[in-house]
Amino acid sequence: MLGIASMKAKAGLARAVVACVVVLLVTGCGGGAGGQGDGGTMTIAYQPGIGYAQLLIMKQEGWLEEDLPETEIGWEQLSSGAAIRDGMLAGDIQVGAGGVGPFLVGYSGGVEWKLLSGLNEMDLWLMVVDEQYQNLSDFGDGSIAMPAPDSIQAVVLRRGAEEQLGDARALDSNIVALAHPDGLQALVSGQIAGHLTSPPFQFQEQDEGARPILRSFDLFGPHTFNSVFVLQDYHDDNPEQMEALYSNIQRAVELIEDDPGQAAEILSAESGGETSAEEFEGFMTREGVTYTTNPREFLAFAQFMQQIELIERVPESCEEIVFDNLSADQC
Amino acid sequence: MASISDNPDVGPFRGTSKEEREESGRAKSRGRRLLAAEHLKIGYEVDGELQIAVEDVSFEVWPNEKVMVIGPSGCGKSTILKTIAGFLQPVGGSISIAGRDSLDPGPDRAVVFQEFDQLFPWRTVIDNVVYPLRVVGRGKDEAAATAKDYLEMMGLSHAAERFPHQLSGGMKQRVAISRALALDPLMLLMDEPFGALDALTRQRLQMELNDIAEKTQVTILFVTHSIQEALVLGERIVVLGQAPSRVEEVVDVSATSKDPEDEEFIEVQQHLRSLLGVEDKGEEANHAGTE
Amino acid sequence: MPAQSKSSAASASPTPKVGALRSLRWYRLPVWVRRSILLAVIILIWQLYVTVMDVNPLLFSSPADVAVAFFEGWVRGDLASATLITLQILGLGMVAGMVVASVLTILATWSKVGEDVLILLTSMINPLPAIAILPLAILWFGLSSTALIFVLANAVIWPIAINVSMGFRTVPPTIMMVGRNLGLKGWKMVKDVLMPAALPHTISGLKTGWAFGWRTIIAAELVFGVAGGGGGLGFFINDSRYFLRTPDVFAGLVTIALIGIAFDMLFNWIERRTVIRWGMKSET
Repeated sequence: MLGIASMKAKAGLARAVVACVVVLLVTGCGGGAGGQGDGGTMTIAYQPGIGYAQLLIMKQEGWLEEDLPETEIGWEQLSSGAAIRDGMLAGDIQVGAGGVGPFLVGYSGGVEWKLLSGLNEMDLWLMVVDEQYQNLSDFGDGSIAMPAPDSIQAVVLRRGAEEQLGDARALDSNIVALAHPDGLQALVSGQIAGHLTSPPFQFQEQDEGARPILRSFDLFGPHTFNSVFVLQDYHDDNPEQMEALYSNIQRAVELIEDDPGQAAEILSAESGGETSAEEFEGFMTREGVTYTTNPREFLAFAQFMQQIELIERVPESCEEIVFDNLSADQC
Repeated sequence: MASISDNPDVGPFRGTSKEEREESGRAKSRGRRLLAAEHLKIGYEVDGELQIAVEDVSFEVWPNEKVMVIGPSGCGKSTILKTIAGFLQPVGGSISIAGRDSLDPGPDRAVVFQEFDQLFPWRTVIDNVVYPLRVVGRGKDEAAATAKDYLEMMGLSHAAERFPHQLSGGMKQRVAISRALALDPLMLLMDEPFGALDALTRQRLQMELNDIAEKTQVTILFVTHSIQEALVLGERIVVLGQAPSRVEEVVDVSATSKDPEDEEFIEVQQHLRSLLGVEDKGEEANHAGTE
Repeated sequence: MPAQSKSSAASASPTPKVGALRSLRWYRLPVWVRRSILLAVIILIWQLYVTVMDVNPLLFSSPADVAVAFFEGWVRGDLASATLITLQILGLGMVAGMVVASVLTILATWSKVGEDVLILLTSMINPLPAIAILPLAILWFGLSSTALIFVLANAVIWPIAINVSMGFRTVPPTIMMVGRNLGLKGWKMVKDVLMPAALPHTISGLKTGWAFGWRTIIAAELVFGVAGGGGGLGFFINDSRYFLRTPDVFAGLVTIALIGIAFDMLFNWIERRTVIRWGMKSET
């Protein structure tokens, strides 16, 4: 009974196994360190917020498409630095933009990438609404929201806790991960006690009556918030694209500084009119917001993160984390 | 396979004689009619309309009697039994049990159903007999001892710890009978209890039931569609007509021979056949073959 | 001729080893042996794939790395406390769900209106993935485990209620009559007859409810993301992913799978001791 039937079944099984092996081989070759993009493709991933203003301006005005007619430029908005990092590892994304935290976590985990350009320096505030919260010691059980466990905000809070409460981990059980817009709504509606966020959300919260009780510039001095990073392999293989990218970021910075009104118009158009040019201009010119291509305070953040055991490996010098279009003197 | 024990030293009635039991049985019911059904009218609601199954049925059951109810299919014999048991309410007429009129279901009229799944599958055989005893208020030890006795009498001691699904159909029905008897009911209501069994087992159980009835002097009201069965088991046979049914005749067979070869038996059998009409002929053919 | 007699002589005095090998068939081995062998083969292929294809460890961990991460996770206590937290919340959610399911079932059994309500609610709410309800739950109950328990209870109520009420409705009418014959009524009837009779369906409902609940709590934790101190398994995996601890992600997944298997075995054991033993359900 089993004899003849199983012969046919065995043949079928053998075919299936061969097919599986072929699939695995193909994916094994495809996935991996995501060295080079697909010949002429460059996908740029960024996150929501005015921290990515330069990229949004470049996207809206088509500067890269002009300078790199042979290259297919893709633009993707993702919700977190970790997602962008995963996309880069998988080879779907060639250029990533995100906060200091995900970059350093990637570095520590062995991702071979470096900074191509800073994007901005922004003072990050811990916003509260209730009168009872004056210091970090006032929080008790109250929830403090921040965008992600590996975000720069999470590091800022730990540093604040260390300074004010003597223990970096003192507020760990208060932390709740919420995306910026969700955190904004939760704070304003009284569901959480505090929101460590970034422009423009902290400004919007301020307009709703919230006030900052902790500022990151007080703890770390002026520092980078967002930057652009690329995998070493892709960078080395695509010098023309890297040049175009960096120069256009600089061009956008100039536009923002010389003609903020115009920049605001472009950003408003990019948002599909959801946010007015006026609002954008207001955000970009507020205190604690500077657009620049120079990274700042990465090493200090790295060391603190290592100290509180968020990461294991830290860069010893700027050369390890910046490409040579940037000066290695300061990062 | 062991069946009902003839050994007088076994079972709940050890040490008593048949006469003694007869006496106590009658004393228990003070010589009154156990059951009086008067002009019973029973109906079902089907699609909003009342369908009458039983039009006008009256009969009596006296203590220690074995009364059979027989009739064509659909004549409402099961319905009557269920009404007496208290599961249904009659539309008209009255029923009184040992002088009482109100009829809630209760263990004084213990029922043995046709279906094998009348036993609780989650209880062992002995537990199926113990549990009802506990429900009616017997103590733990008393219930256990009583259950053991009845199982012994029915020849089921070896299966006491088994679960119903491990038993054959015949054994399941024996357990159901034990359970009903153990409750020491006023009367045993039996709704075609052997109907789902094969012919051989059916015959054996009929004989066992006769033995039990003699031993325990229990009163039995038995519904069947088989003339043969009615003649073998019964003392009086209530013959119903077609639905909406009435009592065609009540045949007294207490003095009739139980031997199917006997002329007397055959005569009554023919009479019953004619009362019931052609429907039963095919039935009889089956039974004639197995006699 | 001599060759023939030789071979016949050989088969006349059988060599045990050859005979045993010849009779070694896959289907003759006991279940656990077959499963273990297959599992070992899968792990071997997995390890070979990772090693030979030189897969980026940040993308895909080898079984060796996962085993180490798993072991360390338990020793450190992270995995243990995360698992415990998740199981606790799941437990509370299931209890809440069972209570509501009981009420709905009782109503459905005692009245036609109740039955209609139950069927209507189930057909409307059951298809909603519990995760979709999470934002609402957070709005109502804030960022607390109450929101999680609410979402869980919701995932669990419907399969349990539907199954148990079906169990009650399909109790054989004969058994019900036996109960009535004994004079049983009301609560006693429910406790002594309906509930045991409905046990196969009840267990089935609990199994399904647990499966939904387990998947829901993990997913909800991933989305809900309590950070810092004290999160469940879903949070453990999420956090590991953020910090590029890929072996930990896999270790978390392995834990989830193991617990799933453990509970399946628990339910099977319960069934074997009850409904299968009583012949109320056939062994699959």
